[in-house]
Amino acid sequence: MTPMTIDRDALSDEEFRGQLRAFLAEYYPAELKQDFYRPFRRLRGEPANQWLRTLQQHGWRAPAWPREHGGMGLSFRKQLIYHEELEHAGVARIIDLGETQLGPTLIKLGSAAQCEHYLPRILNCEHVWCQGYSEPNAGSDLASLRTSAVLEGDEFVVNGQKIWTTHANDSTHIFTLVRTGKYAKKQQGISFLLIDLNTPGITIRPIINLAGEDEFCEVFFDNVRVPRDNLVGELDQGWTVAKALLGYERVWIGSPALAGKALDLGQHLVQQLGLESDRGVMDQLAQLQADLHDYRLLYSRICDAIADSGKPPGPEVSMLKVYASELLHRLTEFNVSISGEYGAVVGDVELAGPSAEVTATDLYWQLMMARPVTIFAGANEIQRDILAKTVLGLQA
Amino acid sequence: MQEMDEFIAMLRDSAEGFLADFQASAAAQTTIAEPRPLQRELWSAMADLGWLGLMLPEAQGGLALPLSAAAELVEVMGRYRFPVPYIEAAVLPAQVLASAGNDPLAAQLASGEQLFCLAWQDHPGSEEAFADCTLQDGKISGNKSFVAALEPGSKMLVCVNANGGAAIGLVDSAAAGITVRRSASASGSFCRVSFDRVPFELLLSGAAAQQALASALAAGRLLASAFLSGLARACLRDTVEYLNQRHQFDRKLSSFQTVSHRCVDMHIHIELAEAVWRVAAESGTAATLSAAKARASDVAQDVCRQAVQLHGAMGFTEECAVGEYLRLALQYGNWLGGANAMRRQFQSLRQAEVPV
Amino acid sequence: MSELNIAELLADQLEKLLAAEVSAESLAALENGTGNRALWQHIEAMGVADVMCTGAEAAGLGWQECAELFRVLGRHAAPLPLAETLLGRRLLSQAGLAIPEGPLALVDADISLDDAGCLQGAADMISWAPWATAILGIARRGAETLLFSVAGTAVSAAATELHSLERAPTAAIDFSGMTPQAQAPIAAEASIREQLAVVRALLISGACDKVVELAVEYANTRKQFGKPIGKFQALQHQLAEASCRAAAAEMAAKYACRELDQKQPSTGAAVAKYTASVAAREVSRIAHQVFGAIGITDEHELHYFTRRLWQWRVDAGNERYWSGQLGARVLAAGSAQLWPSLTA
Repeated sequence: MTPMTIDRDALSDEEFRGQLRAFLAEYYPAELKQDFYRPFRRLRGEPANQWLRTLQQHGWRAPAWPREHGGMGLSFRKQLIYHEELEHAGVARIIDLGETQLGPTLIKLGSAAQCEHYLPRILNCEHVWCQGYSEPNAGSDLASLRTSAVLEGDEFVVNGQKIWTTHANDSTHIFTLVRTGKYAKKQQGISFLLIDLNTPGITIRPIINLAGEDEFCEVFFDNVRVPRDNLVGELDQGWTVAKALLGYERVWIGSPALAGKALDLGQHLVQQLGLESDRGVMDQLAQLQADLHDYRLLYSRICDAIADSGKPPGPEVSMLKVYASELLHRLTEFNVSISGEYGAVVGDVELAGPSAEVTATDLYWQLMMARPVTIFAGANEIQRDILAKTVLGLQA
Repeated sequence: MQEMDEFIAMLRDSAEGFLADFQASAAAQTTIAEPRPLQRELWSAMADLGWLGLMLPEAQGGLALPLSAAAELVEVMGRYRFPVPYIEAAVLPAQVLASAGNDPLAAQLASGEQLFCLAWQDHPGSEEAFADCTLQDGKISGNKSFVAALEPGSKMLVCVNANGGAAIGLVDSAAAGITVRRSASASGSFCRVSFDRVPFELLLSGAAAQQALASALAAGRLLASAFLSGLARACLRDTVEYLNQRHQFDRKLSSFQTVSHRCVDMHIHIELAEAVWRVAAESGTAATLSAAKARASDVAQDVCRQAVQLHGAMGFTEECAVGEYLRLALQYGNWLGGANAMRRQFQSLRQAEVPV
Repeated sequence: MSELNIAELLADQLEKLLAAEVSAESLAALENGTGNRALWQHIEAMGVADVMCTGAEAAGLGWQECAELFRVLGRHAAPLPLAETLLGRRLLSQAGLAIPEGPLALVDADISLDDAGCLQGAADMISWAPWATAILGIARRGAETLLFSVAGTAVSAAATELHSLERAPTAAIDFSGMTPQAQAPIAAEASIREQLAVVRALLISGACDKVVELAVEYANTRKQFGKPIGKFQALQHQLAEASCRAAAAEMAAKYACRELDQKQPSTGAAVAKYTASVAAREVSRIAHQVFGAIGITDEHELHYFTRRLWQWRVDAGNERYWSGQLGARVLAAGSAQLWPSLTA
């Protein structure tokens, strides 16, 4: 393992911000930036790996990992700045679950050998990880999962099926929750297992979504033999392993970044289509502008509180996921509704208005890419149940 | 910084004690639709606590605390649905007197021996203050609307048009030529006041008068936002308590998702409101202040209305406190700028401000 | 047999036919560019497309009588331009023009006819234009209102094929400089945009019913936390909201039909399309939330309906357009007319 030699956490917030901004300006490819055409642009596959390697070469990879494991060792507050600057520079989103989820899990609960083997390969993108949690009958009710792993000698034999596995078709490995034991409480008897997707017996089938992308997959396991060493944490204790990071996941999903991009486009559309004199539209826009403005302040307040306390996020971060996802719905719908007939076009559309300027965008893709945000990572109904019980103290 | 945090914690603690005692007393009873005079004894007690001159300089008998400290205090007042015109009779006039640098008057306000109120608004729903009342030969004539906390013996600070320029001056509310039409409000009363050649003592004029009013309104809006945020939080807390106790269909009301999810949404909105007024109090721009007032006005009225629904028939009775919450939400949610007006102001201000 | 029974019988026949013929596969085929022309032939042979024609020998069914027919088309997301053809043939018969074989497409954009007899103007999005034997629209020439018809074969050069939400054959057409195949003055009961708006509102109400039905069925069968998700109040209330929206769309659309039949159109079309467009937005939003992840996949049938809801919401003016129209009307009538208009 190569520890990180640069210590950017020692910089002042302003210096840190300045250095990162300069780095992004110099190295992030202009043609991959988010813009009005693709405000939620994402990178996957080789372009994503290339960019991650560039970050790695310049010591800007894995902001949350400790430096001894090759990460940047940033405080939570600097991580916030890091994300703000990426957003500011229009860097496309990358779903890099190896860095954001598996790495921190291994660092916290994995064995020294696991850290030694996997962490460097995550950083240099030799391994690309996807997450195998959901199953056809275990979505929001994740603890009902049934994919089984039976220990035979030094190997687990895995049988079952995962679904909604994001970008499995771009990945080399999958971290899974599998059932290894039967207990009265269904959260018990689940284990956290690492699986190489090249192992015989694994089939991956992409599912096309309404935006036309194959972002989700089904992953089938038919007598897949996995070394016992690939177990993370204790046998039957996988639920605790997986839960350790859920709070952070909700913080990053709750980021106002996407909503900000959608609002930028909305404001631009209002101008482009000459709607500034329509008081009804302007009032709707004012509501959305105020919602995003206020939400940004709430988001940083909660993030600051997490940073100050030095503890993992509590259940209150479910609020962020609920509000940010529903705001994104409202914004993408506003953009469609003010665009009249343009809103019925699928794919690229050029919007013309009173001015000579023309705006190219893809409203349909945005509308569709915003649909699942209220569903994945725990449907909003589930988040509201959690908040009702734990934060408000409403009794069942 | 840390010293200030400790001081604020103490201020909040002592407010909690005082307001809890008040709420348990008979004096806290309010009646619907009847203008309610300010209780002078209570006002003196508030003066003793230093609340009336909280932000005034020490030379004027004040505590010289920042606006953010006043907002903390007022947030606690909201939590205890304190039906007393603190913002109206203490904060707004004090801001104007401080701007005027008038030590004797400010000291009288801080000690509670003299009541003041600010008569600024020319027309309902308007920001105009220096047009309708005109000053001629040292006397003013014209109208002011929604004058709050005009009590017997109050001195009025009136915004007037002095030969086309702005001016603020002192008017004795007992003077001849004043006609008052009074209506009830949650914190006491609102008045429509007509002046017919009433003597006027000049305190501020020109840009200084405009600046003084602007800072008074900004302080009033911020504190109203903090009050509404505290009010909504307490109203939701009481509602949750009720839902946890009340059974229907052999279950606790709190166990129904349609009820609990609504409470969650209210909670999120209150968190938004609090996040915004706190930023506005510390370092916010003018746009953030408008956003704070818009958010708090919407949230408090929405939470209190929903609380009526969630309390069922009980919520519609005066025996239950929900009505008191709702009336205060209506008052501070619509006075000094309602949600729509404040949101429009936010929209135009944010365009003028340079983004980060 | 009364006329009403003819309409009911037809709706019933169409329901059975579409239930047998329309499936996720046939909808996918249409969207891949191989539509079911045989089904169209069959329906044309049934004579359904002519029932709204007026005149001595025509069935002359009215809007109220045909409301169910349109709703059946919506319920099945029928991969056919039958709604347009029903209305188009009625317009042709009202103007006394010959009715061609085959499907029709309708233009609701502002088009004018110049002194040289050439059309001027363009339409951004015409559903089914690539299939149509003729495209109909209203053109103004001075104070005159003319129904014009352009042969489908004549416009191909001026047409740009579009990908619409519905994924049905759709094109933008610039009519400028074309000479109509036929034209005649028409005294229709309402503008083509209003009539098309009512048609879309009826289709939306049919599709909303179907989507609510699918969502209820899914909520009753999908289990999480040991019980059907329909047992959770959070979902029950969303479904109740969706079915209220669907019912409101149906009522509003039928109200507009009654106005059209009484030849006293006032706000019916605006109310219908506004209400239906809002229903389209809300019902599809709720359905996708109820279905969760499976609903946003291409392989589940839900999107055949929700994409059409989004499309029809936009066609012939979305809710913003029609609320603007209604608002302008109310303002023009003045404050004295507000209360009477609300209580009439």
